[in-house]
Amino acid sequence: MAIAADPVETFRAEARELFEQLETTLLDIEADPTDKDLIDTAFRALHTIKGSGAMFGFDAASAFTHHVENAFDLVRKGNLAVSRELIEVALAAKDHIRTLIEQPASAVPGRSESILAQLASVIGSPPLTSVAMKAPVEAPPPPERTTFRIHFHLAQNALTMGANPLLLLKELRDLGDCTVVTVTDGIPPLEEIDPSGCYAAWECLLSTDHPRSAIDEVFMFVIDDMELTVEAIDPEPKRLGEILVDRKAVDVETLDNTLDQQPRLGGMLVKEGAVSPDHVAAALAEQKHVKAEAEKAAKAETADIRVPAGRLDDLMDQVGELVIAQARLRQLANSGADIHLKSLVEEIERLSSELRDTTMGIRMVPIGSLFSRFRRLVRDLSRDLGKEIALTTSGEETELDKTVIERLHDPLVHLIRNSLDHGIGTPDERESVGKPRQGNIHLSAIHSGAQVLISIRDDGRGIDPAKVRAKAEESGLIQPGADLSDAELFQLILLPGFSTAAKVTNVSGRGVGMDVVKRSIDALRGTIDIASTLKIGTEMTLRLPLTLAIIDGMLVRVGEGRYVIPLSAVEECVELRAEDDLRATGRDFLNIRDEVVPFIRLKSLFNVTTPPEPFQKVVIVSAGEMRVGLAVDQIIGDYQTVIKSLSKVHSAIQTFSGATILGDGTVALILDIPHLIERGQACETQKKAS
Amino acid sequence: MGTAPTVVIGFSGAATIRHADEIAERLRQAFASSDRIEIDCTQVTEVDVTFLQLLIAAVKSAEASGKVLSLSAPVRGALLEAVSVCGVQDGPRAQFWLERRAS
Repeated sequence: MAIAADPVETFRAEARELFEQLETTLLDIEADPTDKDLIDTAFRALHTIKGSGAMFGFDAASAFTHHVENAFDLVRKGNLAVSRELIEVALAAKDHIRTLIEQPASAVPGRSESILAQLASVIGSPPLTSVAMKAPVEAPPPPERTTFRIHFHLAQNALTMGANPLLLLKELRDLGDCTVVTVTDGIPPLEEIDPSGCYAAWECLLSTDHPRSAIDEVFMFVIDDMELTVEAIDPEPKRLGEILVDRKAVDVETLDNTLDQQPRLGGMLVKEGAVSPDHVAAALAEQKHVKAEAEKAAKAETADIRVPAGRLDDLMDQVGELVIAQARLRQLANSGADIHLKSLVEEIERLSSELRDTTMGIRMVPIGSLFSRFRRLVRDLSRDLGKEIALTTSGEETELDKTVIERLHDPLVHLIRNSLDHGIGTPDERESVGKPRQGNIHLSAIHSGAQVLISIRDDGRGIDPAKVRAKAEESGLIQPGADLSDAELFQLILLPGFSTAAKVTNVSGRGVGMDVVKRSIDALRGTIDIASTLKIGTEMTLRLPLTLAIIDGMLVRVGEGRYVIPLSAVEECVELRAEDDLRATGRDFLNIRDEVVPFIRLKSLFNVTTPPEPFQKVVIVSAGEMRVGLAVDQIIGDYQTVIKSLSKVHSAIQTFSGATILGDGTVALILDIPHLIERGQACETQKKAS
Repeated sequence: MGTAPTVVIGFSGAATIRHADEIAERLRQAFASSDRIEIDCTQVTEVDVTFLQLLIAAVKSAEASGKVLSLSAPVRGALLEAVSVCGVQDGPRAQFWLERRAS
């Protein structure tokens, strides 16, 4: 599969990065026109595009870029002031250069001339006064990056005295990369707690370029009533035990005694009662933080290399097969009595799981690259709509699988457009309801376990549940007067053909879209939560798995065949009692704590003809608010699954989303849960109607 | 499996130190009245440390007494922000904060 690198393609890929950098820089310059570094960056980007463009035969693009570069050269030398118009033209020019390089054939004739004319008028019109630039300071020596371990504990009455630990933590986070763990050991149970006392303690790890005094400043106003320790730590990754000893959570002797008994230190120490789970969690967090720091430092030293994405996919595939083969090997070794073989298998197991983690790591990219693409979108759209809207972001460093990020772009564009168009009103309208004229859209991302939460929050009008209800009743999506919570009502917005916008604009409101968004998020095995308060704003939260390549699954047996259910969808497993089974002929419902849940017999769905077994189980799975049971013959257990997609021939099969190879070499199909739930719910409504 | 129905208590607006006594009282009452408690925080707009502490205290009490305590929806908004600032969503009780209704 050797990919012959076409030099022109390589140039285009590099240019694409330069364009993204240029766009971000231009927008930054607009926000801070006096920053000389930014102007230099823009100039250099233009210069590189011009130079390498000429080298690869993009003469038109190169000649055009030359003029824009000149303009920035003037700015750089202080002969031209940065104005809104200049940025406007520069952005338009950037788009045009991009067209000239990526699809030269589709460039509008005469576009170059018209942009250059605009540029000339911008350069010509304002007087060539020198701009007040930031004084060119001597570059200060690069500050030393240090990692501090900070422990603080406030006095019990501190909260009543007005201390706010959340604010302190936020300030710490602003100083650099900060990992926080709350030690909850001190919090008494509900019966004993003084509601306004302060019991929690915090362990923070901060890697920062700021000096230690910056940390002391954060705590300046509360320093009197608190216990605070700040110490710089050695940025060498350490073992968990060393960290715990270092933190005085456990003494060396206890540690050594426990270590003798192996295997998992953290779990052992907790079991021994030597340390609390919180302390282990804090130490683990420290281990992770320091490791990330060390990796970052290593990254700064080594250069990046560009690798075709196809090779990464191949690597992932092969690692997946290795993991499977290793599982088979283990099965084989465990069935024999050869101790040497067993220890070798354990070694290979460790290596292959490390290899899998590393490979997954390669595919991870920070979501910031995606977020920064939306700045332009928000800027241009809000201007078109005559609104003043700022986009703020947080959690840009959150990493997600490369393919997930690519496939998130379109749904996010749609959600942001919705917020811009429907969510946030015009400045006048906002002022009349007592809000600041400028609206805000906040994009954020955080990790939580094996999921990533991405939220789009606006401070606009909010969604009116009454309107949603009226519209849903009108279009027959729900029965009039149906008893639905607001959250359930909002989920209706995601259905095909639903739009509450009275007026169709070119931005949104055609009722195609939210269902497309939902479908693309479903395809990523994610969910959408919608929360909205009328007049306050709306928040849409996307929950996505970290990677698409590997899932935790539950292995079940139906007849002779084995199937995998994604563990994230499983809510609980119950036994299918004989009376439910008999009663349920034709109407398959279970009563789960007074809630009626429909269930599907996988046996009849898959046309399995083996005789019915006495102890059938029902696995309750959920997607959003919907729940469906799946009746199976046996639950085998947890199984980490490397997903293999089905071949093109089978891609039309809806019940399965993929396949995996089991330890013994047989193939198990992975059930497509959203599809099965739809099917189960459809049965339910059908039966309700009849 | 307990037969008593799930008690749902909802908090709204500012869940801060000013209302901490009242919030604690309602949590205690809920614990006294049922074995299955669901807390609805979706309408909470402002959160401080006291609220987080009370929720953690409630989780501890539930763990100690074998009661089932869950949030009616995964945390979001102001509560999510507070939870992520403190890093409790990655701690040993991650499930409580981020999973949908546990049962």
